[in-house]
This record gives sequence, structure tokens and C-alpha cells, in this order.
Amino acid sequence: MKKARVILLAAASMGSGLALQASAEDANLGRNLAATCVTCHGKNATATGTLDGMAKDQLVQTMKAFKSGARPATLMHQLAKGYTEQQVELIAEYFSKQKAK
Amino acid sequence: MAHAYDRRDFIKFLAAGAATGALAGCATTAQMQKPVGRVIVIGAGYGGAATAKYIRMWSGGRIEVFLIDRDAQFVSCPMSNLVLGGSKKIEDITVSYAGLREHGVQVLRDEVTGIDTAKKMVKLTRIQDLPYDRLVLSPGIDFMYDQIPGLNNADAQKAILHAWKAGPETVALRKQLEAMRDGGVYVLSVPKSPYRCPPGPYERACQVASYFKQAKPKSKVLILDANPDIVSKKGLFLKAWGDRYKGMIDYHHTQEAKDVDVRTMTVKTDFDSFKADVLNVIPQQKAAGIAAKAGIVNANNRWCSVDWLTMQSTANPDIHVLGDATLSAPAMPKSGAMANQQAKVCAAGVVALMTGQAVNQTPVMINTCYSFVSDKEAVHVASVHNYDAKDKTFKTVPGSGGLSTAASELEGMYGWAWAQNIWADTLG
Repeated sequence: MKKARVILLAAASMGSGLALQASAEDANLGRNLAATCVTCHGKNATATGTLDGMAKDQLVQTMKAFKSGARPATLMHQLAKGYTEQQVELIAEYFSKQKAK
Repeated sequence: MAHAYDRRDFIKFLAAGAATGALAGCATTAQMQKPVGRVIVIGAGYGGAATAKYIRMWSGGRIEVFLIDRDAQFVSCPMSNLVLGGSKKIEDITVSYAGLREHGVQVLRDEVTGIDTAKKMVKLTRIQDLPYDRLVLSPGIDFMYDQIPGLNNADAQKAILHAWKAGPETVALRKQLEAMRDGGVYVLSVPKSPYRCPPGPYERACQVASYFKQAKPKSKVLILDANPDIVSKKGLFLKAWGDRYKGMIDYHHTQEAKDVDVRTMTVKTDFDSFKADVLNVIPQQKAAGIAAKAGIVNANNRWCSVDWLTMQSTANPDIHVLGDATLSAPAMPKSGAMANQQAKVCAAGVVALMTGQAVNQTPVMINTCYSFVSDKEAVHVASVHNYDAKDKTFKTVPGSGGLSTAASELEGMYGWAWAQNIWADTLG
């Protein structure tokens, strides 16, 4: 098993070293972007709710609805407009992989 | 252990199960156990506490983190005006550092007396000098008392408070307000921008007026603003003053406090003198003294310039600096929320630099700031800030951000939740 994984990894890194590097950076980019949300949406967030474990599509759609005004808000519509679709994708991907409490 | 702790701190350190070097029992791989150095964070406010926690989290416990503060507990500046208004007590805005210890942050209560940047050592009073690989300063602000001669001594500063660092002065100012006669005048002097918490003075005026309205309705609030206009949330504050506190709040622009007379409780500007029953002067501010000792105050002899990708000082790449002490980016307020966001850019930068990862070239920060216009109703301002590679600074994202349409109890509920949530993120 272990040997197979090493070979696979080696093949992957030879074939697409750049892609691997990019995905490694993206891993931190998602984490870093999500951290901007955690100020108000941490694990035990009160009133606002945590984003940990939220399905990726649900978060993406919610942010779209805030952005378009379809979902009314006091504040989130103003913040949603500050993130690109790609950034929201990364954020949603990251939170979908966090364990809900 | 190569470094000197006192016995009590060492026991705490063991109890916290700090995952460093040989002490790490729970790390799953040799890679995770391998320590990659030590960071000392000075200042355990919104910026420093969050930086310490996130370095521990994002390094997987591989970076040893000391967090040093002269105070035993965290007292929040945001929400501290509610203590003046009387709807909250100082205990409600005080949080322990116990949560950080669970992340393996070694919290030390001590006074930093100096920094040897050549030897990379921090000098302390309770324990021996502590060496670091990288230093993080989140020192907050000091007041420029030399700008107000009559206030430039300890006795005057006991009588005329700033209450612009939450803690004993917050409680003392509340006592002054409680002791004031009905029909008295509370004078609030606002310094020239930039200062800590742009909407804070105007929120304070609301909170004091809210208290007067309930307890001493003949009393008045007089705002003397050094600025040519209300600095933040102008329309929302003017509405609150007109609707809720009609005839109680008097606002004067371009009235900078140039001197005070403690004996008569008088504040002097270039144009007038104003006598107060309770005089609350918020002096101009600069990066706290330890920043000057570290040699990183390099903007207008007042603030610290930073590389915004990592929060490294432009004067010394071994030192990161964040929070109110920095020379702010355009449209970036000196706020607790901003310090929390800067902390995450700083922590990501520290971990990247110490573990050989690439530094994030596209960081984002947001600001969410609530002001209470009464005991229950609040208003907010929000903004999103992107790094601009060409100008090497953060800029607000066009079309994003904004203000409340009106004050509401719903936003008051969100405002108090904001505090619980940011305290949990920063200290939990």
C-alpha cells in the first residue's frame, strides 16, 4: 500500500509539479479566506451560526443570495459583495470539510 | 528545557500540554513533533491573542508560542461604552486567557522592559530574558500627553480620564458619571483622526446620554471634536442624537483640546474654554512605547509601517507588528475586528516563513463594527479589504461594505453576539 502511494505521488509530481504546487497553495488560501469569516462564524457562534460542516453548495448559494439581495440581511449582503465567486468556492470547500461540533 | 521559566509558569506550561519537542505526546507523526522555533507575541489584546492562537493552530503545534501581557485578563475595548451606559458590567466584557493555554500558548503575565533585536531577546521583569526566532508586537497605543500640558502628570490623569483602554478607567469613569449631579455637564474631547476606534467617541456620547436620560435627565453631553466633522457613521449618530437624545447632546467640530485645568475641570481649545462636571479627554495616540524600544516606529514618528502580506515591520523583518500601532492602510480603521483579521494574515505569514511555505499573495480582511446608540439598539459599518499588489497595501473592494439603514434592536442583538463570537475566535 505504502509503496503504491509513493509511486503514485512520484508520478503525479513528475507529471504535474506545478498543479501540485498550486493545489498546496490553494489549501492554505481556502483556510486563510475562511478565517476571515470565523471571526463571527466560529465553532460555537451565537446568533450568526457556525459554517463548519456546511454543504459546499449551500454556502455558495447562500452567498449568491446575499449578493443579489434575494436573501435580505442587515450586514451580510455588504460583505458578500466583497468576495469573488472563486473565493466563495474556496471558502465553501474549506468549511464543508470542517467537522461540525 | 533550555529556557528559564519561573516554576509556576512551567507547571502551567506542563498542564497545558504544550506540544513542543519532547513534551509532545499526542502528535501523530514525527513531522508534526519536530519543533521549528519560537515566537514571542507581546500584547494579548485582539491582535496578539488571535495571532498566538492561530500560529499554534496553523503550525500544528510545531511553533512554540509565548504570549506576554502586563494584564491578567482580557478586557474588551469594544462594548466598554456599554459599561459607561450602565447596561453591562466590566465582568461582562472580561475574558480569561485559559482558552489560549488549551491551544498550547504559554501566556505570561509580565512587563516587557526591552528588546534586544540583535540577540533576538525579550527582557522581562519576572523571569530571565527570553529568546525568540520571530517577534510579534501587538502593543496597542500610548497617549500623547505632551500635547496637553495640564494633563501631562499622574495626578491630572487620575482626575481627567481617557477610559480609552478598557479596564480600571472604564469603571472609574462610570463612577464619576454616577457621582455627578443632575444638571451637570459631561464633556468628551475627541482627538484628531487617526485614533483607536473611529466611531467610539460618538457611541460613548450615546451611552452617556442614555444613562443621563434614565438617571439624571437635566444633564448634558458636550462633544468637543478636534476633527472638522463626525469621523464615522455620521448620519446614524446624528439621527440617534436627534431622535433619542433631543436637546441632550451638543456637538462642536474643530475644537481640539490644547490644555486642561484640573482644578476647575476646564478644557481649553484654540477658540474657547469649556467647564465640565465630568471631563473625559481622549488624547492623541501613537504606537505603544515598546514599539519604539523595538525600533520599529517609522511612520511620522508615531506608527509602525508594515509589509501587509506578512505584517512584518518595514524596519525589521524579524518583527511582525499589527493592530492599532500600525500605520493603517487606506480606509482601514483601528478596530478590534481589524486587529483580529490582521492577526490571521500575520499568523499565516509567520507559519509560512518558519516552515518554508509560500506566503499568501492574495490576503483578504474584513471589518465589522457595531456601535450601540442606546442600551439595546445598534448600528454597524462593514468593509472588505483586498491586497493590492501594485500599491502593496490593502484597499476596500469597490461595491462592497456599507452601513446600517437604521438603528435597530435586531442589530443590537447581532452586536452583542459579535462580541461573544470574536472573543471566542480570539481567546477560545
